Amino acid sequence: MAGETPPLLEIEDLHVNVDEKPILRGLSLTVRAGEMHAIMGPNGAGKSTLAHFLSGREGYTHVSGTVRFEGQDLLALAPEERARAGVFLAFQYPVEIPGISNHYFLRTALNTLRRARGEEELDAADFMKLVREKAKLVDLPDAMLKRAVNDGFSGGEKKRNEVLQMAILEPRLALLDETDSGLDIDALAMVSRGVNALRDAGRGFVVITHYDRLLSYLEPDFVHVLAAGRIVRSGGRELAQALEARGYGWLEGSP
Amino acid sequence: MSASSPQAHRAAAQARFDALGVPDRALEAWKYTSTRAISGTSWTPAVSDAASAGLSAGGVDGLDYDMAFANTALQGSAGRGRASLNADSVGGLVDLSLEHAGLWALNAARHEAVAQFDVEAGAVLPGALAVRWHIDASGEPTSAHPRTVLRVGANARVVLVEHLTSDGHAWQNAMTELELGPGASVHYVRLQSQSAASVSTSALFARIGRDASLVTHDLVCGASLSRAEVHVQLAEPGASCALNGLYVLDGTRHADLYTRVHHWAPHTSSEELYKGALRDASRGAFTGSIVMTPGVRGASTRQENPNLLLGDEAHVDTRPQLEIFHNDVKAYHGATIGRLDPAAVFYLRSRGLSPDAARRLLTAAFCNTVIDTLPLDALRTHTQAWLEATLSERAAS
Repeated sequence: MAGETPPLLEIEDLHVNVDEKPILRGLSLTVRAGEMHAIMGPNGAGKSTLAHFLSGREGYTHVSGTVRFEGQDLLALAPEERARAGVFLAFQYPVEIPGISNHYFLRTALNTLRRARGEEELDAADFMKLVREKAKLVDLPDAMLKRAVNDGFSGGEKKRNEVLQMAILEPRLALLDETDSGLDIDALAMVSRGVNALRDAGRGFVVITHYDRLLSYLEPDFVHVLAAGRIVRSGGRELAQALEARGYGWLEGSP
Repeated sequence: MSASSPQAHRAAAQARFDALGVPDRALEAWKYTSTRAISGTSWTPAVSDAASAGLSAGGVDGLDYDMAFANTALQGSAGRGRASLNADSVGGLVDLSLEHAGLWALNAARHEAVAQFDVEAGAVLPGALAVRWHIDASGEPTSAHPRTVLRVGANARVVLVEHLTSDGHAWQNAMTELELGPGASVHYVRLQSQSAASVSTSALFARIGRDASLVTHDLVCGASLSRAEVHVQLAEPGASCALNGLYVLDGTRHADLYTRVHHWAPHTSSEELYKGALRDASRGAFTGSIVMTPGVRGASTRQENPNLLLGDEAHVDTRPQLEIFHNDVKAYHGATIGRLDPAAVFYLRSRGLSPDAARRLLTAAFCNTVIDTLPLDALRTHTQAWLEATLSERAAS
């Protein structure tokens, strides 16, 4: 069945260095529309590097290999072009921007994407309706839309705000970089509810996490283990459960 | 010579100016700013000429001006204030014996008109008292010396807006005096929107009584050269001030914001937040001078001067000057000179904004924290629109 839908994201034999040090060393991964892939792995395996590199952050050297997004060369695109093409990164550490309200920021971002897609911009009233509806998904109160972007937000509020952005921008491919880190159980449930509400046949997800807990809410289609810059094992939910129970040690040296 | 008549005051001030001249960089208080644009220009004094009134444009929408002066002539009525020829000064605020008092002396000698407001004890004035000073200098270089005096009685609350505008090549040398009675609360806004060729020099002098509080906003939105001074005397226990400033500069514009706060009494507090965004080869300077005299127990001061350097040739000088002669006080100052945070730029780009749009938004965000505390919706809207237009001009060019 996996072969029936066209690939959204195709990574082939990707090598990426940071400060001349190889971090990704031959990583390959294919994500099709409708699929959710979880990537787990020990610290330093290259999980966050993968997320940052795919979103176009500076500071990473592309050594070799290809990344195609809906058939086009993703690496040839600037970060904003990737966003406009439909790639979204939920940051592990969202940036605080005092002086700009969350509401204004969300509207600016959405209208930028709509313009890029040749759609009409949303006016203030229509946007307000949309944002209220989406904010309910992650239980983000109106007051937090008026506050400055992430400014003084708790860890959980920042992550919920990332998911709210994702819900409003409706990407084709969402990369979630340790969206569960620093969340208590309630926040984790809210964030997961927001993510699950966005799942549909046209959208793909790559979820980077340390813990099976998030995956118990999200129920990904595939679980991959990233170690030393490569995917060393792939499976289903049971793989995540095995990792949770046994750690990564037993995988070492596995192909 | 008797010092009692207005004529005698003017003559004495003129003599003082003749002795001092226009201040220059040899003076510590002016070390960052060349005044050649003033001393090297032959200025024609503005004359009352209602026909040249250029007041139809350039006002703040939604702000009702009590008084509007075009080339020193009052247009229409004086609203809630009164216009006069000679200043009924707040005594002892302006010390012409200082070596850097040249421009103050010149204003004292030459002021063409005075906008004066007296607010009764206990009064709470709706909206804002507002004065506009406009010079039409589209002919020859023209100078004027506006003077404003506000006296506020005990426990009264008032907002005062001074809006300085010009066309052509003008020099406005404005002086303002505020006296706050016990428990009074004043928010003062000086909006400098002169034409790009103009020069602006201004000085605010304020004395704050017991438990009274002054908030100021200095907005440098125009002029090629701008010097904006604020001198505050926290004269009695419990007096406080919060001084805010914003300078957004481009091209080769130069702005010098100079503040001096004197804590004379116990439990006085001062806060300052001056922010600068400098593009191209513009220059900014900030001085935060704080004096705490012996015996001011429980006094506190906090001063911040963050600067955003956006142009490769932009430059800013910032100096805190804390002279503290008492132990039991709290004092903080912090100045930063930095560039936009690359992580923040990337965050916005990852949401689809172009690098230019990301930088504009972050610059606006930086400035907004000063604009957000302006007292009236009309002023916030006006300043935000001005900022947006200024930042997008850049994108278009």
